[in-house]
Amino acid sequence: MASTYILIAKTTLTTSQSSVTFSSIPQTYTDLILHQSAMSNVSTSLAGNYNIEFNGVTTGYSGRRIYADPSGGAASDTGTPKWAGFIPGTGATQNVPNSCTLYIGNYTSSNYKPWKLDVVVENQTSSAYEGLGTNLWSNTAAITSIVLKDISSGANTGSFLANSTFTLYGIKNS
Amino acid sequence: MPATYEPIATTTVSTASASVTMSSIPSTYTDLIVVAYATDSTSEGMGMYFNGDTGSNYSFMYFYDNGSGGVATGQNLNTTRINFSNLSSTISLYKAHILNYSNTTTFKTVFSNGGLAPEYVIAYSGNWRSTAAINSITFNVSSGTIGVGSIFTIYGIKAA
Repeated sequence: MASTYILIAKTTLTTSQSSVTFSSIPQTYTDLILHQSAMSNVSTSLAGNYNIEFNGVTTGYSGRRIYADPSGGAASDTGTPKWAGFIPGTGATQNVPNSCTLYIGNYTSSNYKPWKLDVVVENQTSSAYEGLGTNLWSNTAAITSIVLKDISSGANTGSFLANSTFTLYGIKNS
Repeated sequence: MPATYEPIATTTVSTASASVTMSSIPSTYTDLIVVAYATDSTSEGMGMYFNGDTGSNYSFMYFYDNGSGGVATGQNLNTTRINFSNLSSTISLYKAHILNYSNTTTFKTVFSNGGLAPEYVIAYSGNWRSTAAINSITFNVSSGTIGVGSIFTIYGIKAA
């Protein structure tokens, strides 16, 4: 029986970019896994956030997350409906990317599309963010493209830095 | 490189039911991955038990959002299943990792996480106090039914 953890596309940035796009996603898998190892230039003490959008559609997203913050506390919120993860910014140790995995379920179906994510951002000397999120795109269209964008920390915005990598895999259940 | 992340079985629920069983799991892998894409007729937890064992041989811990901006934790000891998801009529997505499931020396451990947006996000870890190799998994709910169209898939992971 064949492996079904199949590479669809991998992007390693050679220059800073404000967004990363996967287009023409094949419709031959059951689920998608998106591994990210990314850094940013957003101005923040440690980590910012960034978003995901499907098919260029900006509406229909909702989500909830829980996370541990550098103070040793934990919190939850629903304020990041398009959440793709935490990403280190200018206050983090340089050249240490996030470790983030999105699992997108049943992406070709005519049902709504849920995704879940696990992410950690750490500052080697002192602190880290770790998060677990669950989100839903309330849209019946098959997902054919993915955009990662909107890096922010409060009012500050940023771009993905060179050497950030994004790898998309397809998972088949048969 | 050996093939891995192989689909072992997938089930799509065609009639609403309180449980779904996937059996004849081969012992040829190292770990199992379970992906559940599911709904439920009521809002409740969904559990899993192994090899038909419904004795009080399971324990699990969990942390989750408490609905008011914080995070809460809990545990259930000596229960009849391991919870691994919370369901409602909203589609949810959970993934569980069952480690070293086919060994006959140690008890079996599981961790999982996921949720149903925007209502709930949760992570579980649990164990089954049995040295038997896992050859079947039953997913069950207590008061409602698992919805039509729910999909359960088991993948096998090989270390070598």
